[in-house]
Amino acid sequence: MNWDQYLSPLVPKLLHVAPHTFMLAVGVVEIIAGLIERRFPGQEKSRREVTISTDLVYDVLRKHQPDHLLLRAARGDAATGLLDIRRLGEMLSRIRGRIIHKALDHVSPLAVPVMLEIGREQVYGEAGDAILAEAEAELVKEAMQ
Amino acid sequence: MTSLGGPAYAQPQPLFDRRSAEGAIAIGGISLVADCAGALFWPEQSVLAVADLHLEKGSSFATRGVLLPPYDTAATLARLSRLILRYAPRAVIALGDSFHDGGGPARVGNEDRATLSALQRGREWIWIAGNHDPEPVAGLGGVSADTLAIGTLAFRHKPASGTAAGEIAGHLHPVARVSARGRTVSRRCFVGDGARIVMPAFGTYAGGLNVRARAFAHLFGTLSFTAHMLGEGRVYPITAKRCLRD
Repeated sequence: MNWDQYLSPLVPKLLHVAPHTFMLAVGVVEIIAGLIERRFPGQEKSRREVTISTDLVYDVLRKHQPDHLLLRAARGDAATGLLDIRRLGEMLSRIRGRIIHKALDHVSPLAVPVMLEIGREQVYGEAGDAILAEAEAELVKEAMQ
Repeated sequence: MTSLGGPAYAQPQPLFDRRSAEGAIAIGGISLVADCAGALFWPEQSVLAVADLHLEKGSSFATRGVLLPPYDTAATLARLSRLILRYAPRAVIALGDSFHDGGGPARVGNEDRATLSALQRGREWIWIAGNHDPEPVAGLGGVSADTLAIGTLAFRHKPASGTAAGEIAGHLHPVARVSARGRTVSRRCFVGDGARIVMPAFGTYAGGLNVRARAFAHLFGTLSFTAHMLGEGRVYPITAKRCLRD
């Protein structure tokens, strides 16, 4: 499949890599899921118009053309590219009954990559409102002082 | 500067309960309703304002070979329809960059034209000039103006430099990011400091600029604004200190 043609020319411009490299590296699904929004520290966006936010494209496609090739591909990719659901299932049944749960008093080395992702994960939809409400409470506290 | 003269018309009763979607934003002592869909409503004047619709952005990119799904105009107008149904305003102000480029008005398809015309029926419709659409909007109803003054408020596309009491502007597409419990939420938002307001972009394909960007510091000074973030159910006022950089 030649994915390059489905990638907006803006994307390589934003990422400074060849389209094909990029597509291989992160997969189609992340692109339409909006993950390419991630930028680098110290880099300030100066032109509002440049970024076509891919989650907006995703929403519009899902509503108006849910059988679009890009969405079908994304679903397929989600099942294998991002996390291989079948392999995960096989692994879980293989180790069933032999899982040991242990609460550690420090971060285990294997958990470090996960810890680094905390706070970077975007929250979509209504779950986000709980976070907004919490941030809002601070304004109220400030006003009462 | 164009003025919207005459007393406010009798207000039709809104069809839906409005309370759930609202937050209040004060500007120069006037309380405006901030709707979580990204619009401002001024109850006393029955005026609804939306900024940066960027209609026909999809088709604009298509002419340059970037093939985005072409449903953005319909999606934006559908969201605007729900607001107009809710507030039944006597006037709608589109705060500039209503079209992504000068050829936008001519490219609007027949179905979207009909939708727009239905929305304009029985009310005033003002297209404020933006940097994307500086020319008067032709063939799509409404009147065009560079800026609009109603009472003590001034509606214009690009925020004026320096202090501008009573200004309601768009142009900057503000987006705020907050973190709590290890999770981050990024949403379009209104930005205000009690004297002026920058509205969120309403267009379905419009991008966003973080409120911690320099462009906002020029208008509000550092960390002296409130970001009114658009939630699913209402608008959340967030203190500037909580707003994260990208």
